[in-house]
Amino acid sequence: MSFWIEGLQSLAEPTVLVMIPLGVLLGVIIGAVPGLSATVGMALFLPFAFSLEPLTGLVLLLGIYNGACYSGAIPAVLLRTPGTPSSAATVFDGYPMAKDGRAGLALKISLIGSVVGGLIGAVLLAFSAPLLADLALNFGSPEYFAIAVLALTIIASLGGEAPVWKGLVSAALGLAIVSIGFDPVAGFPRLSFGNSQLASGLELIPLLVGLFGMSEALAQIEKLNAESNIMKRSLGRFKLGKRLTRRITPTLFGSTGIGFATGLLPGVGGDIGGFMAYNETKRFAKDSSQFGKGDPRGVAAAEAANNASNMGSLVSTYALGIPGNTQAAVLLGALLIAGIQPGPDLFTNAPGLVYGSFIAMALAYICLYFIGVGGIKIWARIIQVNPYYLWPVVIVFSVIGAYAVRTNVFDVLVMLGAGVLGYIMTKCGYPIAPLLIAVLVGPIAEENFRRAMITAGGSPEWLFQPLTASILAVAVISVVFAAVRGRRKESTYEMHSNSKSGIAADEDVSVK
Amino acid sequence: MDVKAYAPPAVSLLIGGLLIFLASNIPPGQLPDDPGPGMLPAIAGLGLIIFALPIFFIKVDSQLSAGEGNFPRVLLTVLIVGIYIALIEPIGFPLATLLFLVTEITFIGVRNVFLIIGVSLLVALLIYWMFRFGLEVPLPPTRLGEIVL
Repeated sequence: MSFWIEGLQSLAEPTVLVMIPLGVLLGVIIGAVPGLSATVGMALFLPFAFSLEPLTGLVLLLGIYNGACYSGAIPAVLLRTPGTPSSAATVFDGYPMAKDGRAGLALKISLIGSVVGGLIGAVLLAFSAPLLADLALNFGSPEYFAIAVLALTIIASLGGEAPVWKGLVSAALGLAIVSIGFDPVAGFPRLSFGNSQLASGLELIPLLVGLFGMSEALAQIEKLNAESNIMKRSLGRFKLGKRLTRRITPTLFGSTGIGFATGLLPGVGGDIGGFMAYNETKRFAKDSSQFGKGDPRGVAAAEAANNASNMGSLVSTYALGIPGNTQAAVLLGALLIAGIQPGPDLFTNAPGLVYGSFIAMALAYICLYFIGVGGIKIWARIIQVNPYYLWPVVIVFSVIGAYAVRTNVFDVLVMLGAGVLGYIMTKCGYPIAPLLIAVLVGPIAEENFRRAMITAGGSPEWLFQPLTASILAVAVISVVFAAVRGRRKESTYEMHSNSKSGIAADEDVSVK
Repeated sequence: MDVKAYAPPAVSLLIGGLLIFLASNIPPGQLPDDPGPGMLPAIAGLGLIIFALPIFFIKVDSQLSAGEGNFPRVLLTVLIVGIYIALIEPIGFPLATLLFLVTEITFIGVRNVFLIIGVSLLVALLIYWMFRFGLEVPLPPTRLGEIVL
């Protein structure tokens, strides 16, 4: 109880309180702009958050995370293009509702779904993360090594639509990047080629800003076309009415549970949570004939689940220091940059920060409701922002963000290099998330492996301790499972592309 | 031969080989039974080779790659950003940013001169003042004769 009081006290700072609505507002704007995802927004604001007090900066980034997660539904409903991958399932019924002249209603339901899912998810996070942290207090180097390996393999194998091998190559590339600089045990400068800048390692902020901000700017500049695809749509009414509210209420709560549970698994992002909840809602509905044609329950299910899933992804981030998804990895990076190591000790060493951020997350969702309702018509217009001005400005933000870390041109060049790397990887179908997770988790895996080997006198017996072996077995199974699933998906794709080429493309849902 | 499909795994294999070579030249750890600082780069190199091989030899899908676009525009944008970075310290952040925005926005296709200059000037100064005076980040100033921005 005293921890909660400390959390409340740490929130009493006016700057922290201001950052909650400010972060949500920025997040809503960022998520609504086609091309700007929550990850890009968080990466761009990381240098700004870095200059603030740890809790203030964390609250700002969490606000952006929550706000963008909701507003990704705006382009999903109006343009059939999910603002964030989490909103992919929202398209199925949100877009048909907009075509029927019920865009306003779809946006209101997505807002209510986000707030209910996020708020309950934040409460579940606040109570489950300390339990996991308590359990992890007994972990030693072997268990931490195994968890780091699990996080790496599961994210590389399940984290997205790319084939498992491409995810694993991306993770290996991340390990190569994190090898640069002093090693964590002996302090030997690796792969620095006598360069003092390289010897101290690559800074995290330029890497993050480059991989997400700069690479997205390059990808969007490549796609710029003189013909704008923005269409103006009538929003229609916003009021739900009692009958509709009663109809969507069970969906909201059920999908929140599904979303949070899926979010607990490393690498399973809000998009998968949204799809699972959508499918289950459809399966259990008495009348499922309207799903895919504009059923409000479809929008409610997808949005409640993806927001709850994003909260679930934070459980392992706080309790173990292992990020559950890409946005959580950016948050983890922010904490590491501020000199804070997430993990079980954080709950007793910095309770003000941990519990303060839990309360701030719940407050952020309350703010989101008012910001969402108050500006629903304005947010719907943000999708019309001119990309010809937006992306050069994003580049300027990326440059200044990288420069601000150490007022050093070398970091800006690292950012540009990471941006080009991210752009090429995306272009060739290699996911960026496993690379980032490897950069963050690689040092944990290395340090704990080496410490465990030193402690065990060079014997690998510790790998066969029950808990360590079980976690490592799950890691191996996840890779095998993903490889088999990938082969099946590939043969199915080949069959489909042979039989109905050209038709599938029209039915695809593009995720920005 | 589809160069686009084979180039990324080939580069991965090369980087993997190079990493293993560099790791083999790193001295062993000082502590007894420590696998040493060369372990991580060696694992990264080995991983790159092992995981890139199936992509290289078995034709792992290529349908997931991003759609076609204006690739030369990306190359030139990278070049413009490179020049922008090189100019930040010699001519100062506000002027370098102004020049970058005017060049880039014009290059990607906007033709309204007043809007280009107006937006570029506003954004360059706004961001500069926000970081320099709001966040106290010591950005290189621009000197125009007696005036220091």
